[in-house]
Amino acid sequence: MTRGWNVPPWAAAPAAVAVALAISSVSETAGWSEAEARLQRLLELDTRIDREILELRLGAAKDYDALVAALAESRSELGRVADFAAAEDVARAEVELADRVLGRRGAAVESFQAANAILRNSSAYFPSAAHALSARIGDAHPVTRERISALFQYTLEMQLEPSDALGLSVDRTARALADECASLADASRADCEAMTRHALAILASEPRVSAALEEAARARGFSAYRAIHGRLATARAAETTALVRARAVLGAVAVSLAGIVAVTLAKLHRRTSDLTDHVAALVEKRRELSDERHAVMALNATLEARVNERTEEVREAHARLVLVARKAGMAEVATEVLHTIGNKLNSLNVSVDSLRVRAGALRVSRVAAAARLLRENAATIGDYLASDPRGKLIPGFLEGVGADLEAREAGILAETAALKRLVSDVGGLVAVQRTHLGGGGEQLEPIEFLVDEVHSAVRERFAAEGVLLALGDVPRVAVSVDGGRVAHLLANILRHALGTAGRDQSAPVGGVTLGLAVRDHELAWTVETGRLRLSQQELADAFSMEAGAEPAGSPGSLHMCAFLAQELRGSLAVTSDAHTRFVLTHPHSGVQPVPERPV
Amino acid sequence: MPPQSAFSPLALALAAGTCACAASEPATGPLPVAAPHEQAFAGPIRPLVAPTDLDPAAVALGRQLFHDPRLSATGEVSCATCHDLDAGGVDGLPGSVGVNGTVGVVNAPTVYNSGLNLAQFWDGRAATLEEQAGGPLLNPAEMGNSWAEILAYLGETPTYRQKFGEVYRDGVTEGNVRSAIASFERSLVTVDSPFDRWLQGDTTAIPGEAVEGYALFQSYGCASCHQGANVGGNMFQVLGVMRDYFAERGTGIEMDHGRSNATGRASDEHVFKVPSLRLASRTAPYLHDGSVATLEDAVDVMARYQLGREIPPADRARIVAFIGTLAGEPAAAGDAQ
Repeated sequence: MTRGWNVPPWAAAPAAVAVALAISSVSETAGWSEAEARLQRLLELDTRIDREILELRLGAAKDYDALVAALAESRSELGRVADFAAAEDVARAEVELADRVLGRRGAAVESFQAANAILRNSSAYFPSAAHALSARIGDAHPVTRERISALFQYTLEMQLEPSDALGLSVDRTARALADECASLADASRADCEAMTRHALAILASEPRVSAALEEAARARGFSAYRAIHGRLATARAAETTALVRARAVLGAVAVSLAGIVAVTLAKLHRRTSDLTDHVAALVEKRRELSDERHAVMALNATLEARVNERTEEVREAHARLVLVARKAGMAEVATEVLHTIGNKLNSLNVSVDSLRVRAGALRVSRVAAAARLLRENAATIGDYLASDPRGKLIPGFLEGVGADLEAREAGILAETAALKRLVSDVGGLVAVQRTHLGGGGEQLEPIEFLVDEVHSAVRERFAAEGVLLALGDVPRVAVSVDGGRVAHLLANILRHALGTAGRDQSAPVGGVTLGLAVRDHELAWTVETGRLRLSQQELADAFSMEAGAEPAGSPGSLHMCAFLAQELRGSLAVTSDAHTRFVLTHPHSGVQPVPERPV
Repeated sequence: MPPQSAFSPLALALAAGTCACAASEPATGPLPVAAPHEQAFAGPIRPLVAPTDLDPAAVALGRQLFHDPRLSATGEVSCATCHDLDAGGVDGLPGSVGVNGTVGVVNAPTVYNSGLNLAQFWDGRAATLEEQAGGPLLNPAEMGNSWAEILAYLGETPTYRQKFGEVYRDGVTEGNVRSAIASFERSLVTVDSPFDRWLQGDTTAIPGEAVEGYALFQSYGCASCHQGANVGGNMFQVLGVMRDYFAERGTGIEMDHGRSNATGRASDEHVFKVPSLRLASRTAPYLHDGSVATLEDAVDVMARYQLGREIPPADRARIVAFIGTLAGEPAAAGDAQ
């Protein structure tokens, strides 16, 4: 919104009209007044021209500067009046007439000047020349002398009161004198000729002067200037009337505009007020929006934190789920294996029962009785066998027993072979169980997931034992390993470490620390027990402890752990000096950095 | 202005007779010459006064234009070529040489004191200096140019464009070119001549011969036409008042018709503007046709054809001496450099 003005631009129209009226009034007044002044000056110049002409004619003025200047100024002034008249489109005809009159007057003045100069010159020269020539020729040429006197008289009268008769007399006398000049002496002849030329010049110029004066008088500008003045006055009056009317109209327009402006300003004021309220409301709304924005931002931060927490929880849950899945997988496989093993064992029991039945069915006691009869009748064995009733039965009996034993031996061998197969099956199932314990094979496992999985597996045990499990720096990398096996093995190692720590209740326990070094082609896990030292015998026992001899829930023998480490193509070493350190190393197939998790 | 008084025709005649008597024996003795201050008030000649109402910037611009030959078609002829300000404002030739070596048939009048003339050119066809200024620029025998070319040149010249802009609101126009040149020409007034100083009371300003020459100048009737501050230039007069100059000279030129060329009036045949005598001593040759080589000859020709007289050599010498005292120096507002 543009600020800084309270009135719309067009509202200046009344002021502009007023200013225009004032300027036009001044301008109009100045223009008309100037034209009138110039006309007045023209009238003065017209009079001055008349006066100058008269003075020049009479010889009172001896130069034409004033006359020429008056004419020049008249032309200039009339030219400016003409410009004004053209601009106002008024009195054009009158101005043109005045211009023509002034032109005629100028031409008359030119003619007057030329003729008057000659007339004045000749008039000045002729009397003295006539006097001098008359004196010179004396009485020698009385006619000529008389003619000179007459010519002088005529020319003088000619200047006083010219007439055709006088002109004729001057002309006739001058020409007669000219004829007589030839009879005079050289010097007088020249003067005589000059005198006659001047007399004729007077004769010629005097009417020209008179005519020029008459023409100059006829060409006075007075009437023309007055006509212009009259037209200008009429036009000015008309224009003034029109101007007054126009001013009245414009004044009314200005008043109307002022009213419109006032109304508009009032509306504008109201609108401005409304706008101000709207602006205030908008400002308030903006402030509220700002608060809400801040709240949203705070909520967003909270949500983000919670999302991060949830993400962490999900991650942990995922780890747990992975572990649980692995455990579930292992349990499922174990259940199936156990079920199969149960079946196998049932079969084994059947086979054993069958063997027992077969063994029980053996006629061993009857063979022993037969053996006893034979030993008792050893001395007469032949007779006995041949003649004694019971003795004669013994060979047949032994034959029957032999055949029966052969049959039973075959049955027992068959049962034994079945038993062997069953045992072999159980071994296979155990191998399957062990394989499933190893998880899903190698895959890219983030180390922290692996550590979390291990930690989740042993956390409760450690908490129950009150032993602190510290985790070293966990590199943010992922490695290609059999995560399930590694986690299982590490958990067992930690349990061993916990068990080892728990066996010596009197020794101060500094907790167990799990650390990891990621090398180019292998991982080196370390599990250290704080300030607990195992003897060589304890180490040997730990490695040699048979399965089943350990307490329930125990992690199994370290031997088994070492065996599992070998299955990972790695190794497990245990050292004990100031404290006990388990070092598990196993290869990996690759390592990649893990991107930072968003905060 | 001379004292104003009422003269009757008779008194005029008597007064004129008195003056003429003094001139009737011009070479026979000392002339009854009035005292200088009396001459100043009563005589036909008044001192020249430098103009004071000119715009110096317009004068300076006009001076530059006046001397600029690039205003001509060939770039070789300027106003100053024919109106050499160091040579009395003329070129000293009977006919001026224009573009491409064209030789004119009219004697260039001096540009000095031209602002006091009632009209310009021998025939007075230009009423003002502004009107006159365009004539030579376009005349094929003089500068031979056109307004289109002139205005294009001036408009394309930065210094001119700037100066015109400073002097005139509408910059370079034909009217402003005329105005600037006219302003400069009006400033070319020769003041402080010996005769003007004599008129103003300095009795030692001119020699006695010139004083006598002034008296003869009046008595012979020269002052009938050569009068006023410019000693001429303020009227027209027929050449050959007493004798037919043209018939006796022979071989006419167009300009011989004089003012009738401009007005068309038969009465203006052989009528010419009366030239100023202010710088006559420096501006030979004389007459419109440049046919008179010396001032002495000019005095004789004027006496013969205009006054119907023959002036004795002694009187002529005095008159020439007087005419020589009329020449002043360019006023400060002018520029002869």
